[in-house]
Amino acid sequence: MTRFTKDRFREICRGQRLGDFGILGNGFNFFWPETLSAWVLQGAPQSFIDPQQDYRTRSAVDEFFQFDESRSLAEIQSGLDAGQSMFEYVPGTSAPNFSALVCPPFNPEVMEEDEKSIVVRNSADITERLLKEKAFNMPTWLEHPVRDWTTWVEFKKRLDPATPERYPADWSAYVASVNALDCPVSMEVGGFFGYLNMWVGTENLMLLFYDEPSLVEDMMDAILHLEMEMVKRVTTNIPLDYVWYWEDMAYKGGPMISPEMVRKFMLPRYSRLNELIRDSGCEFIYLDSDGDVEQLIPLWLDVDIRFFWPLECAAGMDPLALRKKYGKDIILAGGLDKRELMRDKASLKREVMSKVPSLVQTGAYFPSFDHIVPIDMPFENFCYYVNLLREIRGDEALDF
Amino acid sequence: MSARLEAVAAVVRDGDERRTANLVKEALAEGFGPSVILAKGLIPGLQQLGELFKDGQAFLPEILISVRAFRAGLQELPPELRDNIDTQKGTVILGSVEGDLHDIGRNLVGMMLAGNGFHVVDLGGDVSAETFVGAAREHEADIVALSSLLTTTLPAFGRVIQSLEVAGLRERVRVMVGGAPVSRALANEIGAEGFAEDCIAAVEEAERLVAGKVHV
Repeated sequence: MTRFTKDRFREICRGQRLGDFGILGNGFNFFWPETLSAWVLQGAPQSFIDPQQDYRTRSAVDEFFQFDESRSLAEIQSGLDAGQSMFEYVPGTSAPNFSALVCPPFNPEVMEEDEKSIVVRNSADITERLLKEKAFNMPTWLEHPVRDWTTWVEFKKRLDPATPERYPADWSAYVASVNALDCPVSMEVGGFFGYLNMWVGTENLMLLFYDEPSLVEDMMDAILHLEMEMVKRVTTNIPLDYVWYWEDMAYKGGPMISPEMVRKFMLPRYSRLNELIRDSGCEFIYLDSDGDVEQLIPLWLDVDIRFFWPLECAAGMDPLALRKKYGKDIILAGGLDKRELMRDKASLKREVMSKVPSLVQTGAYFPSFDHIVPIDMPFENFCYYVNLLREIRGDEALDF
Repeated sequence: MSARLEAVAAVVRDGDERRTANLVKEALAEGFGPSVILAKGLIPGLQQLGELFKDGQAFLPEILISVRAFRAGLQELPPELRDNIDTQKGTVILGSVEGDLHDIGRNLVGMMLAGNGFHVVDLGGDVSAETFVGAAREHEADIVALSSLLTTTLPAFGRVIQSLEVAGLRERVRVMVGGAPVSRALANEIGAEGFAEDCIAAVEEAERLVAGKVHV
């Protein structure tokens, strides 16, 4: 099989390479750090958890599974990790540290600690309680930085697109290194719900939509301004193959807010940013939201967002049904039920074979678990999964 | 139902906190009994919101403003009624199972159950099987409601059920489960009598369980 070039990626996305697909790492098939630690105990190479490796480019895991090359511009602080890898921790702890668009970040610190749990304030100024042994599980949010207009005005100062630390120090060298690649290059472009949810907290945000809609709009406008300026700067120098939004705005019962609210608050801002993105020559806009997003897909399609991950099966998302409904208007990624993939090899094979061959034959599909690979996935079975995908693609099996 | 109580229900459904408080005051002044206002105004308002939610016409913000309006109306009622509102239908011990700290969905379930007449004891996150059992015994619970967000913590459901059996409480305590990876099939598999997709379904399921019905 040929190398995974930009052209090949674009042709797959356009549905021009029926039967072909990418076996991609970050953003598609990727892992909680705890999963990798468990796998090392099950015989995976120690390099999987080497803290010195650069996860922003190509990790030891990507290399081991021979995932197709792709490059996320994670050094540019435009998104969830604000340039950090998933392996950044609050110093001295196992607590993950997200700065969530905030630059310069707040100084993370440990607020409390007992035998089992730890309370930290992270780089986004969110105070949360985590379990020490399961630090990547959903935490309990205890306090959020934005509570009203006063706290927002102060917080907003850290959302300036001109802050030099948002970009690699040697910009020219960085641009040259990325432009020398012939693999798909992507960049995160924020989102208009997920970040507000982190900064304000879910219950408070839900109430703000009614109590202080102008505050909600001002927060969204700050993100829009930040991302537009960053996209302008980046795309002036680096052609992007796709961009991605992080939203996480649904659960198994459907969207957290109504489609009407999405239309009113979010669509106009998506439109402005996506117009800029499309005008730069970037054709594909990917969106990451857990949960049942089916009601929101038509709205997103209206603003050129047509590439979706993770298609969470437990929430009722069905990639085959989506393909039937939307044809090649939609690019699908994920949609393989983690509960089946984890059960045993027979269930794994049944799940993969019931979806992947059919989806790749209709084009514009990238297989992956329906979220980040969880800790209870056995290493041996993941190796089997990779070889199963390779077999479907006509590649030689890897000798794990 | 009188026009006054219908109006109370409507403003609770619409999440109008200020008007709910005012209309409850007016209803009291007009001679409506507090328990009538509660049973035929405030609670029906939340139930109407529940119907809208099921029809896809209401989402989480609407639930939260509606619960807030309900509470504002409740505040206008005499304390003795307020204090007893949540003992009408039964006691629910609620918590996220061991290894799971999430609270958003659980909070919503707690709010809706409490608003619909259940006494809710929310044990929080990362709750051990022993703690669930202790609380079920102490509060003479009718239902233990378990929540899990992650596949890794699902086995804890079974441990709680087993602990309730060992403690001799299983005969009288029904178990209800929910959360992102949870399904009715899983509930059946582990022997939980109840399952709910969301906070509105949780109220119906809890009512069904205390009424002693069996899901078919």
